[in-house]
Amino acid sequence: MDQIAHLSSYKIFTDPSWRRVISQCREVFNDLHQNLETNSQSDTIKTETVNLSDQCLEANQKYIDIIENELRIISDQNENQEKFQILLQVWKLCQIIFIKSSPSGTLLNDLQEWYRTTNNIDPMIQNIFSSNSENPQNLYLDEKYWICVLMAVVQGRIETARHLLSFYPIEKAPVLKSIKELLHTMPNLSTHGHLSLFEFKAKWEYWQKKCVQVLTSENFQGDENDYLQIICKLLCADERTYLELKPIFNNWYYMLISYLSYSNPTFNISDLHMSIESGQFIREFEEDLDEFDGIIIKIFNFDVDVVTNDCVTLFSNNFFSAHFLDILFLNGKLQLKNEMDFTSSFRAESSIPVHEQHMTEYAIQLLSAAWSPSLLSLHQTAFDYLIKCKMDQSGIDYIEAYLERIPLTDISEMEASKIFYIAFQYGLHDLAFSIGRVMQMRALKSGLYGTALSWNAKIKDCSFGNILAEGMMQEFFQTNDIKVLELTESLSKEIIYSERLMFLNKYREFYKLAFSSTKCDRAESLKQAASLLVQLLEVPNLIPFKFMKRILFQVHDLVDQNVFGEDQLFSVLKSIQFYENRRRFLTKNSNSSELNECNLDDEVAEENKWKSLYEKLSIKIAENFVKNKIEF
Amino acid sequence: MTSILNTVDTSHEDLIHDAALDYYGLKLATCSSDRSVKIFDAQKNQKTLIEDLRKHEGPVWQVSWAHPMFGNYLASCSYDKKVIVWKEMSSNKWTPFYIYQGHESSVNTVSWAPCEFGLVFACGSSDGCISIVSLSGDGNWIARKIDNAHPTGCTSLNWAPAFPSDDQNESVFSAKRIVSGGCDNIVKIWREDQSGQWVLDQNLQGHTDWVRDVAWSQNIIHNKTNIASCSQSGKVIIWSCDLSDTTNGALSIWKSKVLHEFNTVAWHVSWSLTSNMLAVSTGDNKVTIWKEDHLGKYECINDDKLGN
Repeated sequence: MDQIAHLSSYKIFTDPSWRRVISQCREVFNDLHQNLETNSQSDTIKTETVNLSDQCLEANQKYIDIIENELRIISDQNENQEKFQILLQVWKLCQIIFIKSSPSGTLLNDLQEWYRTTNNIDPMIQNIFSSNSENPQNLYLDEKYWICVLMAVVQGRIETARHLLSFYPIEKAPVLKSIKELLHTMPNLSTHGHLSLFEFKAKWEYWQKKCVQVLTSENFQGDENDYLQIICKLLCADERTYLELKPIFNNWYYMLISYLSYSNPTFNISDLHMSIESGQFIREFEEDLDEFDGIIIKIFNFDVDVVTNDCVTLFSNNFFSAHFLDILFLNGKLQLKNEMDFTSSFRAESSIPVHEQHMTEYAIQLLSAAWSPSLLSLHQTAFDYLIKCKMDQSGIDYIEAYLERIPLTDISEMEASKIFYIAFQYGLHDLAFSIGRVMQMRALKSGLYGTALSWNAKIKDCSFGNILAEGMMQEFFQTNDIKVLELTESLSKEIIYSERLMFLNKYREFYKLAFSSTKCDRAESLKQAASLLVQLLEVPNLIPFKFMKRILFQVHDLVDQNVFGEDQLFSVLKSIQFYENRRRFLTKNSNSSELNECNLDDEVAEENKWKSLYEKLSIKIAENFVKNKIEF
Repeated sequence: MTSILNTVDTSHEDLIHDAALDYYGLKLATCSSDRSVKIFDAQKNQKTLIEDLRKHEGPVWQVSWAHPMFGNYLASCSYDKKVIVWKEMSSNKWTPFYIYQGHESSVNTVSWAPCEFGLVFACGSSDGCISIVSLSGDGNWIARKIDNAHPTGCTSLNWAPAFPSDDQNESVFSAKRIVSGGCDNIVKIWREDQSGQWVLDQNLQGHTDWVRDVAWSQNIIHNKTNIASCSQSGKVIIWSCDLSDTTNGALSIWKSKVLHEFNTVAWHVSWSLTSNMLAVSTGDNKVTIWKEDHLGKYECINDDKLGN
């Protein structure tokens, strides 16, 4: 089982926290694909599911929620925490830029929201409130007070900023009133949704003029450390002020979003792209740029291929890229991108759509993570992704290659059935059949007839079924244990493919009627038993020759009970004669394999028993004959 | 990024030339210049010796496991000009089942065909010939020879996977193929034609020194089938053939890409099960693992210094 190089980077997939995320995402992935499939098949279009992009957006949101939820569950010390945080940040941003946005749509609200959630200031605000709970009037003296106010302003949390400023004594700085007024009158994109962009822009420009007015004409006397002036400058979108507040932003992308939200609140993707091109703010942070910053730049540049490839490098796996590209593809946005981009190297290199490449890679990584039957659920997850790769037909080949390499000698029955059903589910019938054949043989070799029978019934292997039935028969005659026969009881409808097994089932019915019925209806059940036995004897070649004698001996016990009718007795006699003829023929041709009868006693005893049966039957027939004669 | 899971003390008395895990990864076979072939139980952490097979009269170069659907077979080839097919007769008891002596010089390589073609192996020798030996229904082994496949000696060969047959040109697409490398610096692909003769299908030229090993990927990945070859000079080349290109039904268009040029001899190349990773062993006692990214570029994932 070590034939696959264990690459420790994929080992994280066996981590409990990752396992939870993986399995939940798999459910969302499967649901999404199933929904889309049923929608495409159904004739009547359901109004609630018709919106494809809504479904994709919803699924993407679910993926994000899963990771967010996991972050909540794991403790601070968890090694995955940082990775999940980065993943979440990238995923949310990609959702805004690649899924939600439209070419001319404004990004302000979504990006501000992203800024707020990925750099949450609520804990800091709560902190200053709780540490000053006894003297709220002194809140403004807290060293973190102004940072909180500034953060609220740059994040566009105007209500929060106003609330915080209300704790500042107005008599200390008369200009506060004007600042508060500016914040209060600031036009808001979401509340002014009824306005056209043009109207909103006009409103904004008018408001910002007022900001400049306040900045130039008002007296900022009493404004300690110039904080109110800084706020006013922020509102005026003064670039230098943003740059001076570098420590508050911590990185260039927050600074850029904040600046754009005041300088051009209706900015769209191309505006964002132009800002990135000009290197605005990025230059300030040039020395600290890392891989993550690179990805953000590429997201803002709307370069999905590069973003996903870089994410594969950043996270060392294809978990994100596979899910995200799948969503983009289903949403129709990936095709558009690839069609537009004629220079894309994917088209030159391979005909497989890029999302399928990532899905296949992700699946292979899951498979590589740990190769043991106990982690079968992880492999089933991988198979789900492989099977959805419609263009990449090698998906099913991989499933087969992996399944057939599971050594059946070491695994439990349950694991084997699991593998069997997986193979069956993916249409790998040959593989399923051979698993069944190996398992039934394994069970038979260990004397587990029931297990062997259930495997045999699964794959309906007629020839093995016949061998199995004979084995069970032999076992029964030797041990006289009815439990062996009872194994067929629950499978009576499933075993019609093998005539031997069917015979075994009928024989069980006979045996129960004849020897295990209760006393009250004994006579009736014996009669039924007799007629069933005669029926069995009448079908040519139904009873294997080696057991013929044993079954005929059971007539011996029944004859005494007077349960056979006259015709039935003749029928039995005919069977006896047939048996003797056959035996003579086989002895003559020395066909030892068929002649190998199931004998329980030594030869003499068997011979005596046989003779006594013959005599008894003759007597009975004679008695009947005489009786009938007298009656006539 | 990779970790060593296990080491095995083989107690071979000389150089080990090859080690191979069986189909399920449960048994390990090794061969050495001490003329022995050893089989280990590789299941547990503690590897235990199952058999020490000593029938060869010279250094044993390579071992190869057959697909388990025919029973457990192992083939070994040696400097003594023989290929021995070993069979597990009863549990953990191995005996020579067949000895092939059709070569006039050291047999350098042996490889079993995909199970779809039956119990068939191919071997290549320093006499320049390749033999394809199959077990027929009546229990006899039949050998076909490709004479002068690599006139100065064949060092390595490997079978193509059994490609799914294409209805339109079935005879060409599902044909049996072998890739071989030799001392003539050429990688050659051989194909069995309808009459059962083996003919040269492709000459893949790109190496400047002896080809040391060739490996055909056993699964199709992203609609491509790949061959990796490595040479004495340390050059590793990946030859790939796009199967989705319909004009390419006969696997006739091969693109080559130099994976890397090592400063030392590259001994062996081996594909992962899903054919997305390649392991290369080199003369500096290192094994590097290479993975293809989405742009078709190969990157070394266990040694940061390489491949960038």
